[in-house]
Amino acid sequence: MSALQTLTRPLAARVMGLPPAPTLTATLPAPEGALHAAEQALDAGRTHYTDRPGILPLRQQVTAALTAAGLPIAPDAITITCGVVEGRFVALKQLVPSGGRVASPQADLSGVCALLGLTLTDDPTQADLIYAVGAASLTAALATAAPWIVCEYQRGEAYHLPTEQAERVLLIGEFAELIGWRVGFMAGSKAAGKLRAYKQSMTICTPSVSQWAATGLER
Amino acid sequence: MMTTRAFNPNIPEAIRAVAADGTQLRYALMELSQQFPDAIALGRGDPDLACPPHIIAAAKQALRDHPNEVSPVAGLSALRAAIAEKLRRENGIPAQVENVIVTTGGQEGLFLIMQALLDPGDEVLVPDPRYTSYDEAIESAGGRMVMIPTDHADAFNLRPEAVEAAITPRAKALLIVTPSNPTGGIVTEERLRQIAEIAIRHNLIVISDEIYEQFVYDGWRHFSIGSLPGMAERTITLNGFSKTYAMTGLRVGYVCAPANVIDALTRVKALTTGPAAAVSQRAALAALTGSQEPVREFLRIYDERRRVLMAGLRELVLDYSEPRGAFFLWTNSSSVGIHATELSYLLLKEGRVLIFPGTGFGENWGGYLRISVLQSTDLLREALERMRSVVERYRLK
Repeated sequence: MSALQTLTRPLAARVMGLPPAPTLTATLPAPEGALHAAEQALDAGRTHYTDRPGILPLRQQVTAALTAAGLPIAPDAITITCGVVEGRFVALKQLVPSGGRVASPQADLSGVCALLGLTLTDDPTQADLIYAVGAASLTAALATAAPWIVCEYQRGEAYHLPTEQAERVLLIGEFAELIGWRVGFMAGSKAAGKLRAYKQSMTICTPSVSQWAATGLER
Repeated sequence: MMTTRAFNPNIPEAIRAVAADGTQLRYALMELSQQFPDAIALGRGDPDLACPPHIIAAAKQALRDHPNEVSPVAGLSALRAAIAEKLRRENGIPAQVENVIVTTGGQEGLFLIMQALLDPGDEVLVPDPRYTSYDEAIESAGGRMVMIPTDHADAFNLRPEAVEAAITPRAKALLIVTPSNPTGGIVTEERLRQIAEIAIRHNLIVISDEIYEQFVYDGWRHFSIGSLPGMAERTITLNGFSKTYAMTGLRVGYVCAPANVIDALTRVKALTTGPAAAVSQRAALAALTGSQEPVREFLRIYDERRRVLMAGLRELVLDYSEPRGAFFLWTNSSSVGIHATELSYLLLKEGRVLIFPGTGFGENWGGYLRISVLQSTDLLREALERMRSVVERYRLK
């Protein structure tokens, strides 16, 4: 029996011309602590929905890591995501107005901007949102008047985020040792509640066992 | 609907502020319930039963055997093949691997479908009442919901004439949820055959959410509209592992559709969430290929609980639509004389029972409650006693 090939009606214009899905690969091995934490979670029956923001121990762990890096963000302003991909999409969808402009000097956002109908610009002064990667890029973005800054957190770098600027900055990140487990975070900004609600509408919560595995990274 | 008292001004702002948004209302009540550790939760559709041991064992084995596995965006090929085989065998849907994508739960499946299908202004026909968490997916894609009325007298079955009456030139898709959340109704095979004829006549896409397919009671039978002649090429079937195998937290769902749809969903998924977690997919594969006896036992348990709840509601003189499937009793609370949002709040605050108001599933349902069967029979009986105290205190004399 051959596969059914074509729907009887055309697809949405927004999906025409999207790039093929890339293949993700693990760059670091999953540590024993994470595997052990996942096993414990499975043994404890943690196979049900988690709270909407994500499990508190992991959010506290993220807070500790961000604070140590110069980004003091409380657990209640953190939402656990299915990795950077989800955090990035949620941020762009919710923070940039329809047809708005995004400056992304380091990351290739052409696919997600095409999906959302956003325009990429090389001029950060004209951007509704600047997408920064790492501490230096964040510092440069903070010097602009962009309404929103999304910063992809890079572990091991030292950040400086003045309190008066924190409302327009969203940090997103993931755990490099657990790429295939699909777990990351988005943290901070005055839009934290709105972003959390939208993430919930997409995937309800991040896989419970993956969240517990991430708590084991600390061990 | 009987609502003879004014909306209670003492309801917390956290509830009042979101009373018009079904999904946020349900979450606000769940968050409020955390203030009452002794509350009995009959709200969320999260099975209280344990995920079967062989699935847990498979997940543990997978995380040791494949700790660094990263799935392709469309899902592990072994799982996609097993899903396609299941759809052919159990549902009569002519699916191949290319017709399946694995998603991060059923909800993401619907989100992806709407992103891939809808242009701004396209209409999606949706039965009322509805699972309002799907609203955001439709609206986020620029779509517009058009409600199809269903009613208690018809056991919330979908009426073909109501579907046809709702079709406009902008109608692109019809969403069917069978068995239904929140009503427990099913769309019968006879009706689905009539609806399929309408879909073909009007060139509608049918999105068939069958996530509760395994839980059907009293000899009723689940039927997949995608199995009908001429429908596979216009049907997008949505399903998942969360409800069937009590593994909501692992977040594994799937979509079956023509290959060009799967290709589009895969491209969208790569940009929105990436692949589903590999360990979760390994657990799902074990669920699908292992013994189905636990599912049959779950069905027996839910049926027993459903009967306990129905008997208790009769004693409380609360009318309900006898559920033919799913986890819920859609209960007419209008005889109490209080708007369902307020009644839910009072049941939680004074009765320590978390039950969602009908308004969590559509604006028009202020005279209904959705009560889940997802507690033991002992706790259900205790919950019914607690409900009695509140209902009798407030019921209009």
